Amino acid sequence: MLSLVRYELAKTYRKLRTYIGFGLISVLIPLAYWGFSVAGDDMVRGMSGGLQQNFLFVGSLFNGWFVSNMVMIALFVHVPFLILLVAGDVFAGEATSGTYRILLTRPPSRTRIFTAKAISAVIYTYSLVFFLGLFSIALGLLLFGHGDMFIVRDDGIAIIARGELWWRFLFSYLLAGWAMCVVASLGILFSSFVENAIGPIVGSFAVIILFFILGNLPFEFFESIRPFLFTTYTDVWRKAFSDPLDFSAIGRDVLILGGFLLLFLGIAWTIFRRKDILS
Amino acid sequence: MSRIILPLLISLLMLPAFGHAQQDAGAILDAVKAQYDKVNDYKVRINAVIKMKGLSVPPMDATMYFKKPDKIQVESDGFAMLPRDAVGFHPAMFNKDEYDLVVQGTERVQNIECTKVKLLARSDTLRLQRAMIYVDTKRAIILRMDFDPGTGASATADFSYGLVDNKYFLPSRIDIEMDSPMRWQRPGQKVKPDDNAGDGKARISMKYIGYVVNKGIPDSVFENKAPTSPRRDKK
Repeated sequence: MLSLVRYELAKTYRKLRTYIGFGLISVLIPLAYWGFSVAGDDMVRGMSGGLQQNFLFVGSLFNGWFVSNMVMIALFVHVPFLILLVAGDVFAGEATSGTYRILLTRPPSRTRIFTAKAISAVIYTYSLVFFLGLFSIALGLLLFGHGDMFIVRDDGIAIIARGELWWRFLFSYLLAGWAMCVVASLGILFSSFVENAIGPIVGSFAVIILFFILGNLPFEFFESIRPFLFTTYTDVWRKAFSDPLDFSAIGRDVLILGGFLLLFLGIAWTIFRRKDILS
Repeated sequence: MSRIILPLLISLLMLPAFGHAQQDAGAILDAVKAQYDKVNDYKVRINAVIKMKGLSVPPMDATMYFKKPDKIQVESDGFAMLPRDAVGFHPAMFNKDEYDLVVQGTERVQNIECTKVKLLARSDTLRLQRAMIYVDTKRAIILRMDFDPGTGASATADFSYGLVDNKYFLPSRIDIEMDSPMRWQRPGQKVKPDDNAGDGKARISMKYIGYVVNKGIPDSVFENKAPTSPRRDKK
């Protein structure tokens, strides 16, 4: 099994398309930080404006942690697309390059091949999310320094002590990776249907955008369907910054996301197992 | 005729009493200032805890420097947010030329009979427009202050004192209760039934630890830094 995973990983990381996500992040983050360096202080002041009338602010809340969090919020809508570039290619890529038959006539069972591909997609997903995290934090701290983090949450605003930030960020990226694994599983599902990678990438992304829009429309009817959309739970990573940590809410979201992941992979596995390679 | 003369007579009799009350208020404030006048400068560590709906902040540490007449500088290794009108409280912020003073009876605060002095700003450029101070006239210290920090909000600060170096009465703790400035709601977010729970008050507690009094603080500590004195920075 390990050698199968290694083989799938080698295939994934040998493709140029795999590095589009890494490259894009490497370009976008410095650009975003350049923007923050010009207007970041005003941004913090604007977000905390009402408070500064009554409170004396000592020290700055504009630092590397703040910008890393802002970048995560801004980019997290686009990260699914970068995940789908690879996940959507998992099976469709085999069909495009004409290696489906060779792959499936080898001794390993279809289940093992499917599992190896799913594991390699998960590894790619986490590698991209952690690259985003490491790059944004390292560059942010280097350019803007260390300090307590100012954050806007659903229930108000919060300042998180610097000592807690390392593990909170690590936890948030773990949760973000898990949410992106569901996106990857959707890509794998779409990829198992067709024989061209473009379809799964565009199709999956269209579904995500549709779910995002439906989930955010402020009408009662759409509110009733929100619990059934996986995009409702993909911002679970933000809960890593709640105080105190709401483990029950995080656990519930993680389990629901896990349910969606199993559902998408289950359907994909069923399709893959029944795939007719003789026609 | 007597209907006109009697009220007139009463009014005339009350005029000196009113003037006396004015004088008393001034004298009380002068006594409080004299108590603080023994302090030329000090440095103190502040531990602050803020409890406010819609705002979550960890306990904060800061160092405050004070130098006569009203120089104040607050520094922190990390970040700190401290209530503007109370952090560097000093009676010198109430200049008799800038406020009308009226004694408004007495009230017990911390089990001590205090004289209530009302201060009304004569100019609208002053940050503190109205305040009521509760003065322990025996020790000449302020034990409570009701004030309006602006935007229609009101606040109460309770002062606890320690005798520093057996000479100086300086605040060891200030507890503030104020109308919360946080009216936070994300765009599109619906108000849940329990969102309006609580009394809408913010509670801030500041402990003053380790006073170093009259050891001399160079002016450079206060130079090229944003003024933190709350006197004339009304927004």
